[in-house]
Amino acid sequence: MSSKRSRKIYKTFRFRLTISFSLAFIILSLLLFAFGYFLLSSSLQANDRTSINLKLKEYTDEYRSGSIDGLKRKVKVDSGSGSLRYFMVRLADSQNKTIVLQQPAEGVNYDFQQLERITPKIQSWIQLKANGEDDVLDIASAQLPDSNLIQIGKGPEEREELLNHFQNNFLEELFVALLLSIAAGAVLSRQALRPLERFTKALGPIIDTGQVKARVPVLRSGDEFEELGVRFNQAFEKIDTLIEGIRASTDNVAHDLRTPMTRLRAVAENALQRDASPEEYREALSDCLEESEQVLRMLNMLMDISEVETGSLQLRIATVNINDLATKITDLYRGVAEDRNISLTFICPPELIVQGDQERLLQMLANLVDNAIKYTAAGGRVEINASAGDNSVLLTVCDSGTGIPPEDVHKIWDRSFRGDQSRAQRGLGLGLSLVKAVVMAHGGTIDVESIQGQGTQFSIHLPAIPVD
Amino acid sequence: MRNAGRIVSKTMILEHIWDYSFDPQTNVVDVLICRLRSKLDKEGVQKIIRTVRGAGYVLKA
Repeated sequence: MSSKRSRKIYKTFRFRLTISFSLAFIILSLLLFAFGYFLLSSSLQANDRTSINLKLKEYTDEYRSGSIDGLKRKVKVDSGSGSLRYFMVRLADSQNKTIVLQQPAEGVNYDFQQLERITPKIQSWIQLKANGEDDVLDIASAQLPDSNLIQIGKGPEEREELLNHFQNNFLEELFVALLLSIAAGAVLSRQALRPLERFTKALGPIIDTGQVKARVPVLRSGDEFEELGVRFNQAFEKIDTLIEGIRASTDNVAHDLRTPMTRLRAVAENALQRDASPEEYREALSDCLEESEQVLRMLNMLMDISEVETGSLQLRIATVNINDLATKITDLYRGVAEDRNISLTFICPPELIVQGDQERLLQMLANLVDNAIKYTAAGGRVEINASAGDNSVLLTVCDSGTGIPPEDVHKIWDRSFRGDQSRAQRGLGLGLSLVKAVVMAHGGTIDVESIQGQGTQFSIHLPAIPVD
Repeated sequence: MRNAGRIVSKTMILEHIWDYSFDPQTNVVDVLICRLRSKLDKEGVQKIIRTVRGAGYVLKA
């Protein structure tokens, strides 16, 4: 939160967004204005030229019917009524000497003497520059029947007045629009960034307390932010379960390690406290060795599991004969099974082959058989069955043991899970999660069917050629 | 016989005989040794395999 307060306003995304909105608006407005101005100005000029041509025709007609006097009269009447306000009227003889000159009533100063030196062009425009100004007088000329010349001109004053008006109005409006666009930009960017603020706020407690229980509020808006929020929460949930798992198994491990370590310490302490015979020391040392063996076993198992859990399980793929595998395992476990009066059998075609990691597959099968024997009472049976399918091998391990309660079936793969009855047994409850990891690493699947009181069957499908 | 007189741990036995390099949770090796002993007893060879508690087994030279 403190980092938020100290952040400079001009560095915020919101500020930049607002500025971008306003800038885009202003540029667009200016373009629009330039276009409008150009359009208006050219259409006004065209308008002016039309009115010049009209006047020219009017005066030519007047000259034809009433000669110079008629024309002079008309000029007087027209300038009196104000219709010649922006116009120049000039009558010149055949030598282009001025006979009559009516100057515009308003506007800048033009040097009309110049016109005597400019050869008049019929059907085209003469442009007379003002003295010391940019203004240009458009002049049209016409030949009169008696070889005299009539010229009508009009300056840009009238249209400039209009354009100035347009310009001023536009600037005023632009200013208002600019203020509005900044306000609108601020509101819009605030709207757009509100979900981000919610995310930032939701992350605060997680950073402060390390609790990943917090969730980002997700609005059912269907937009990208909802997607982001949902993803955020999924990530949190995943992290949460992972942390939960690590915590639970760490607790388990700490608990399970403490017992042998405590015993080890007690034995060593006891032996040191009294003057004992070498025989007694030997006894104590043996005890210590036994306990440390147990600790080592647990640590080995843990390292196996962590290798599996982090996904760094490397397989050494080779051709594995399932029959050999089953033979080895039944050999190994026959003694234990017979001691417990459990029949251990396997049915497997002699040449059943998969591509896989011999050692890991052995470990997998041993874990399953180990489990089956552990949970099967005297007089029961454990069977290994293997058969070939289409491009796969089906391997089942089934027992007539206690079975798994239905509510626990989906939990057996969790690495920290141990059934209530198995709490008393040795082991870390890691065996089955190792089995599953090995199967997954080979690209296979594993299913479990269990009826409480009747037994459990694990079915493993291994592809004949594993996928990487 | 190669290891006569040396203490052999359970893990070593598993690795040598079954290529099996992890710890089973049940006491498979103990049971197997026990059976081996009783067989040897029947043959009249007594107490040739001694248990070294905590460490493993030793074959008397």
